[in-house]
Amino acid sequence: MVCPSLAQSRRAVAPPRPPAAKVFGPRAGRVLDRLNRMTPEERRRTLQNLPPDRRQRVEEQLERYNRLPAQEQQRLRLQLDRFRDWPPEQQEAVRRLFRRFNAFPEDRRALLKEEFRALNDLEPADRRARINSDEFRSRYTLAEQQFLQDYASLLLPQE
Amino acid sequence: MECPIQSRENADLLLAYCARKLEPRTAAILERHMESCPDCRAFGDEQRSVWAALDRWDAQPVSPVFDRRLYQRLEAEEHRGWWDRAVRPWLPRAWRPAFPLAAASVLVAAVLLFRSPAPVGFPETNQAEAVDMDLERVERTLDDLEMLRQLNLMARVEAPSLQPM
Repeated sequence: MVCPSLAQSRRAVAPPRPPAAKVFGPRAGRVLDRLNRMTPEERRRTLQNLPPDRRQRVEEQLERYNRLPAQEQQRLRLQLDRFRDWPPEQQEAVRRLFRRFNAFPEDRRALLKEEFRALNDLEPADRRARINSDEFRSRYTLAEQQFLQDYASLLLPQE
Repeated sequence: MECPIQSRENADLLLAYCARKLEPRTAAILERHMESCPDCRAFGDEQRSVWAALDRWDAQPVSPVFDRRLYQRLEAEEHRGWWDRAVRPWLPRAWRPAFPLAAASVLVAAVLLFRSPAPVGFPETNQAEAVDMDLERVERTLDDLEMLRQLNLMARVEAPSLQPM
């Protein structure tokens, strides 16, 4: 007979530990290189197959991405590579979390982003302590507290 | 727990453990089992040595011009004429490099002979790339990048230095 606790946790596979730094360039963002290599006319022709609202969204996002410093672009693409290595259900959980994030008002999103930075800097035990602290509870609404708890559960484990 | 090797039912747990993908609680249970099971212990040792060897292995860096050359070759391949595609498989391999030169010579000779003002047919634009792009993939990539930037979820992943793409 299979150990029950083992069977129960079989599905719960943690995000894969990022491998040691490799010399390969990030691969997931190469589709952006293709777009950026096109002339404005080629890009316009390529994107015209999209409905206007989606086309505008792509153009704005690409513009924002291209305005980032090269080091930041590289960092994001590396993160995207790691992210795409996660199990699909975990990736979907992050996308759901992001949709929840976007549903908060803008001023609250700014506050939450500050909290992301704080939580990222903490070790897991300190993170738990912070989430259970009175200051945390008084600062955020119940929905925000729940959101931040879910956020913390998706943070990369300490390397 | 039941031995994963003997039962085969939980063999994937061993692989996940060796790939460091198993959640800590399950890994602890498996480690306790491995203490008393020489088969699982030996399997784990072997797998770990493979992963360690892979971690030590460094691929040669990709040349900064690799992408550009690759795309040039792909483009050249896409724009090869139907006649070239039809004839190439029938040519002996050793003749293949000489074939474009011979074909070009014949073409130049023909142009000189007939003094034709018509331009030799080069593709006007990169139409194929414009059409072939997987737009959903572009949208997904941009959405994900935006999401990672905003959520700062993987702040611990840093780019050590700029690398050739």
